[in-house]
Amino acid sequence: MKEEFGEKLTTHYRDIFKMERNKFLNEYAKENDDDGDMYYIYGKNSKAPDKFNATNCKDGESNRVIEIKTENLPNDAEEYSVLRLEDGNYTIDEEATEEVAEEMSELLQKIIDDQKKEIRKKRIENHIYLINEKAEDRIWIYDITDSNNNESEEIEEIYISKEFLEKVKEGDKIVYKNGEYILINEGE
Amino acid sequence: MSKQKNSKINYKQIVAVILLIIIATIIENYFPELKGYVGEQFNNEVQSIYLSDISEFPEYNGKIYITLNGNKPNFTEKDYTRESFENYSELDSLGRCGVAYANICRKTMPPAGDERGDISIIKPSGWKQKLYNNEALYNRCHLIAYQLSDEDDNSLNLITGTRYFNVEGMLPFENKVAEYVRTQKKNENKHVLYRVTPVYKGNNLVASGVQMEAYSVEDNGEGVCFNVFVYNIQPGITIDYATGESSIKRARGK
Repeated sequence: MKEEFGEKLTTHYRDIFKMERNKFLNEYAKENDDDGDMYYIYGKNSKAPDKFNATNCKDGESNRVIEIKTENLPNDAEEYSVLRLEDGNYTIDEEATEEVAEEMSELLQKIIDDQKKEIRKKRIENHIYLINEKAEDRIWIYDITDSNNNESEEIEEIYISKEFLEKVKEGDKIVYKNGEYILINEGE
Repeated sequence: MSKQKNSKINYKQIVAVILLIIIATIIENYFPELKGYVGEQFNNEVQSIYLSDISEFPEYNGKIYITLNGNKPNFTEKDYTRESFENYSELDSLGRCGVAYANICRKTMPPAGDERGDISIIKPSGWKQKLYNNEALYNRCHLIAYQLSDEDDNSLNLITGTRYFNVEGMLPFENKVAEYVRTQKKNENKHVLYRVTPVYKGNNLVASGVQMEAYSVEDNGEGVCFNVFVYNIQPGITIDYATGESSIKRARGK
C-alpha cells in the first residue's frame, strides 16, 4: 500500500498548529504595536453567517472571542485577515495579513512534517492494532500486541487509502506488515 | 496561694486568646487562601470558599468538588426568566469551549425514550486519549448535559474531561436539575437557570475544571440551588492540562 499523504492534520497536530499560531500572533503583535491593537479573524461564526470570530493578538487577550458583524468590517475582510482598530473602525492591515499568511503556511508545512514522522514511529512491524473508531477519512487504533501492557495511547491514522478505509470497521484488528496495514480476518 | 494560682491560669488564658486573635487576623488579611483549607482540616464537609474570580480556584485537595460563595450562584434578579433558552459560546482561537448557559425546562430536555446520538466525531481541544487498564481516560463531556439540553455532537458544548470528572463530578449535579424538572406536576412548567463555565489556566487546552451554577426560578432557589467547582481529575493519573497528555502517577521515591 503506497503511503498517501496530504495536508490533513490529526487532532493532536490541529491543537499544536493553533497553539503555535497564537504564539506567533502574540509575538508579531508585540513587535508591531505602533500600528495599534492587532486583531485576527480566525474563523466564521458558527451560528450567525453575517459574523466572523476574531481574537485580540495581545498576549493574555487572545482567549476572548470577539464576534464581529460583516457590516462592521471592510468589504474584503475574510477569514485570516489581520485587522487594526482605528477610531472605533476596523481596517485591514494588508501587509500584516500577507506576512501572517506566509508564516502560517510555513508553520503548517513544518507541522505536517512532524506529524508524518510521528505517525511513522507508531507503525511497528508485525504489531497488531485494534480499530476503536472510524471516520470518513481516518481511523483511531490501539496497539494491542502486548496484552500485559496496562497503558495504551490512541493512535490516529490519517495516511491510509480510501480502499482500506472502506474495507475495515470499528472492532476490526489489523496488523502492520511490510509497510502497510492488513486486515486480520476472523480465524487468523 | 490559690488566688495566685488562679491569676497565673487566667493570665495564660488571656495570652492564648490574644495569640489566636492575632493569628486569625494575619490569615484573614495575608493568607485568605488558607481559610478554606483550615475548614477542611477540621471536618470532612466539602470545602466551601469565596471567590471573586473563578480562575483563582484552589488546587485539588482530594474532594472532587468544592462549593463556591456559600453555594449561591451568581445569577441576579434580572437573570430570572420563565423563557427557555440555550446559549453556547463560540470556540476561541485555540478551539476551546466557553461558557454554556441555559434555562432548563421540559422543553429543553430530550423527549422520553430518546437516546443520545453518536458524539465520537467531536475531538475537543486537548483530546489525547489513552487507555489505562483497558479503560479510557477521557470522555467527551457535555457542558450542559444531554439529559438537560437534548444536545448530541455540538462541538460548542463538549470538552475533554476525565471519566471520573464526568461521572463522579458533574453527573450528580446534572441529575439534581433533571430530577427537579422531571418530578414537577403536569400543569407546572418549572425552569432552572443553569450555567457551566469551563476554567482553563492560561493557554491550556484542557480545562482544570468547570464551575456549575443552578437556580430554580419559580421557587426562588428552594428546589435547586448550587454553585460548585468540579475538578477535572482522574485519581492515579497525572494530566498535563497544557496538551492533554497523561501518565500514571508514580508513588514518591519511585
